[in-house]
Amino acid sequence: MSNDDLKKQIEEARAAYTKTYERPLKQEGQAKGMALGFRLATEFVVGPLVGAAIGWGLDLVFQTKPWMMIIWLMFGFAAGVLNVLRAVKGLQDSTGNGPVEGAEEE
Amino acid sequence: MMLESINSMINQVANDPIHQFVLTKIADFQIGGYDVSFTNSAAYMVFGVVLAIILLGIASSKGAIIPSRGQSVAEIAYGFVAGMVRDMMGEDGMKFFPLVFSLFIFIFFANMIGMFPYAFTTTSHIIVNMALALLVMAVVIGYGIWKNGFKFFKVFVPSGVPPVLYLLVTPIEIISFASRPLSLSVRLFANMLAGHIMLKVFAGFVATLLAAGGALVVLAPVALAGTVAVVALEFLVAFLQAYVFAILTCVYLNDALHPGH
Repeated sequence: MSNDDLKKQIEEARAAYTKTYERPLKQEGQAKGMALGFRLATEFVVGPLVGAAIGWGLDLVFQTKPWMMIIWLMFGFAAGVLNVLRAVKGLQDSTGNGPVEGAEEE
Repeated sequence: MMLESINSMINQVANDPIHQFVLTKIADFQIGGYDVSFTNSAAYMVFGVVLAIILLGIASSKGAIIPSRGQSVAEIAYGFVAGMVRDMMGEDGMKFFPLVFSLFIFIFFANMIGMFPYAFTTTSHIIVNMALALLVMAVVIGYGIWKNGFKFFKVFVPSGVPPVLYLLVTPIEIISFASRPLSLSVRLFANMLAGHIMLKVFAGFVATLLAAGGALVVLAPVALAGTVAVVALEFLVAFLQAYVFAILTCVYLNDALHPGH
């Protein structure tokens, strides 16, 4: 077998490999990207919602209408931003439990 | 004549895009004054579970070394979820594999069954998703406290923060934690609800444009093409939402396994 023949064979094998293995990989990447997109869309919205709900509940308990709701709504916004930041940091360490940025030392 | 028949078709099909989500009672039950009737939603849930058990049962009954088509599909599903669990939680996370796999398959089947015309989509009702999400959170909290004891509550008090800031950080962490079941359930519910309404409205356009007559009839095929595209998109969303739910279950369970990292 001549050198050129071998080269051609290698090229063909490579092309076949790319065709079978890299396309699914790319598709998987797209699916992951869309999954992250769906996540981000709701991750922020629920923060203020839950914050307002907690504040409203505390107002009912302590008769402090409307102050708790206002304060917890702001906390909720912060929590929403935190949720999004954690989601963007990567699906793995986007757990709500992760230490706040720069607070890694125990 | 033709207009009349088309109009009656519109009345049957497209007059109410919300109608597909109506619950109907199949069998009336009451326990202690609570209405626990067997509804069409419950029937479709049972149908999904039974279908999943039958399909996976058939696929795995032979256990052939060279898998048949059905067996490979089941193996791919297993490998997909197992890979996800290992990626997210490590090898010791595999004890949660049955939970994650059941959730994934249940939601996937519910979404896919919902794609059949006239079928009911159980996941388009937020209460169903909320029950699933609260189950996940109950497992996270229960297992977290059982495994880590009081240390689990360090979730809400991240270390290395100046003490004054705990006044701010702790409420934010509590909200962030409490928002998880809501975000899990709302995402699935909103996507299924919006998708099915969009599908119905788009399909309704076809009939409406045909009935409108004149030059507008030309636009009907465009709406039809749009409907076909939306159906394809909805199949993708049906899978993706099950995937997102399962992957977030893994992310949250990882907290219970390894709190505070």
